[in-house]
Amino acid sequence: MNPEAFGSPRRQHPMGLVGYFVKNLYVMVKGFWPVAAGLALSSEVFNYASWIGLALPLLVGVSAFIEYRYFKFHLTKEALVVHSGWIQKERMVIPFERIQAVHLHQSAWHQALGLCGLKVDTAGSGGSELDFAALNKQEALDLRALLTGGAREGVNPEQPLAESVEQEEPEPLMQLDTRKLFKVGLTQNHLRNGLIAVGAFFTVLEPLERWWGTWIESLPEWTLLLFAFAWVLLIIPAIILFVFLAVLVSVVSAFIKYYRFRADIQGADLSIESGLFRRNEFRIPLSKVQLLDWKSTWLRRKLSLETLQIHQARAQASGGSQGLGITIPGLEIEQSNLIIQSVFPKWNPSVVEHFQPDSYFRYRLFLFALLPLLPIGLVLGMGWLFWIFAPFWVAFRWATTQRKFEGYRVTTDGVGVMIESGWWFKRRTLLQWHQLQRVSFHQNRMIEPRGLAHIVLHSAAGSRSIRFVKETDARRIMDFAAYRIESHVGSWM
Amino acid sequence: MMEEFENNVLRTEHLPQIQAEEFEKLPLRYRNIRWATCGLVALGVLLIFVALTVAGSLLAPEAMDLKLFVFPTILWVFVFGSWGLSEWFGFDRRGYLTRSRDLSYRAGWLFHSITTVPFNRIQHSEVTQGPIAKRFKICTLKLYTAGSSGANLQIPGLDEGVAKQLRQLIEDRNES
Repeated sequence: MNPEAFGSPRRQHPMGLVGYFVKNLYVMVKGFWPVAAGLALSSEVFNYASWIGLALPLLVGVSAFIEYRYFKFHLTKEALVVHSGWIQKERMVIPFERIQAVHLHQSAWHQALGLCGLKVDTAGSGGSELDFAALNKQEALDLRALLTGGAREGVNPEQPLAESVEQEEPEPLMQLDTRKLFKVGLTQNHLRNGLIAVGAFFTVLEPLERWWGTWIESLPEWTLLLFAFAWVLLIIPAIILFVFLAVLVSVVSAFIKYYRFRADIQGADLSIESGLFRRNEFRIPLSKVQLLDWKSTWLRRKLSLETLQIHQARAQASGGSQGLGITIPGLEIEQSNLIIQSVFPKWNPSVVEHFQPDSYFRYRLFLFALLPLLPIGLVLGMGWLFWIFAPFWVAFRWATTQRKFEGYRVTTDGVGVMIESGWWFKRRTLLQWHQLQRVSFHQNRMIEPRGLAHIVLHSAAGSRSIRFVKETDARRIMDFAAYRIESHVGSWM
Repeated sequence: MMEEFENNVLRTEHLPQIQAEEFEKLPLRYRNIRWATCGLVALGVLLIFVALTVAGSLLAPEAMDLKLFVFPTILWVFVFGSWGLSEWFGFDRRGYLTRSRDLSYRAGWLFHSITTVPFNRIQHSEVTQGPIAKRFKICTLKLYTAGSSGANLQIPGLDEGVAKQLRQLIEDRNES
């Protein structure tokens, strides 16, 4: 496709109308689900069913049509320009240098029709700044190439696409086959997934209380009596069922999210594809990565796997601790090293200085780990059971806090800084000094007399702390961070 | 002619250091405002407590007990005592330091912090002034960097002229 096609204002593919219709219908159903479920139980509502059945799609359809009809976009030499809105008109100009990443996504209906959705992330937004509902696939690929190419070197719409965008053969970095995908699923946080599943189950059940309430009332009295006496016997089967469902939810969600997962380094971009029902294709310019975050559990480490989160700059208004980011699950150490070499090529782990927290941190961790004994003691009434339990707890927490303390360390080679923490749930973060935004030094009346301090490194993708280091080291780190930021010439985002 | 290439060893102890004694202090009238705020809030809470006590003794005198006063009194003394102490000892710790490439601000007594913002990372700056601050000719300088919500560094209690000078300095440094 000739890039001149993007030079004048144009609409999306007409099937974008379907995209807006589905999106608006989903938003409406999601927003009014409890009300709708409640009304559905009222027999009077069924008298108006035909009207509701006609009015709802009409309302959603009209709003989708307006959204589609008044959404136009084009490219100038320096920016993507979007006009939208009917009554309240909006003109959005996104300069190429502000674009952090351009993502493609394909739901089932997109795939059937050979279409693509496209999202544009900027540092001015918490999530996506702009979402195209449907573009012709080739058109989406061309637009992405122009936007990401333009983001690096500026785009001349008059210039032919082949010249403005360098096409390179993808270098496969990693992909998840079924076996590895299963491993990723098995090593997820099952407790969290199980609780989310239980929460979702009760959220759906709650508006339908009248239905299942009636069903329970219709049960013979002896079943309720049996349940009242035998519920204790159901605890173990319930736990087994919960664990089974939690693992099942984890594995199924891993398959839905990461099916046919593939990560490539394509020239100056990191490209990621994944998804079963909805194919997502992320592309992040490597130069815009602010922070790399690896997370692993004990089980995942036993399988030599880690999860990597790649963070870009986030918006002023978005708040929170996370920047724009994408996740790569099931990463092996060699693949992690390849990503580090691509993203932070100057990072040299063989020439480093280490900082470790003072032993005060170890005792503080232990003290805080003992606090749960207070409520447990109150519940158990400080009886014999408590005095049997307490020594085991103290010994267990003494060992775990020691491991946690040993796991905390900071490493720098002068270019980047790696912060490692955790024991069961391990985390390591790598960022570059020159990309920091500011640095702060913290002390309180407890650690000041001990000559200790904390340093907080604030990047555009979030903050990370270096805790309980010697005050002299903290001041050195602060001075060094300021020196690296201030002496850096060139772009940091 | 080729420029002479240098790659000298740079030791961290030779880097410019942020020295506590170099920080400039905030004007004393800002201390007065802070003391007045602390005093007024303490008095306001005390008056509410007294009003509730009087109302309680009129409406339900039999329920009034000395024990009822113990916890609120201890809480009042603790909260406003801590606030007063932090104002007393903390004000002298407040200050800002302008260097050729960055701006630092330190504050706090119980919890003490120093934040340094390099000029080349400042996205924009703001000078704000409420009605009371306007009366005392002081204002707050707010600096914003990329990637987080709200102002990343706030320097309250600056003299109006100093705040404008600092803002101008930031703009000049970012333009050059």
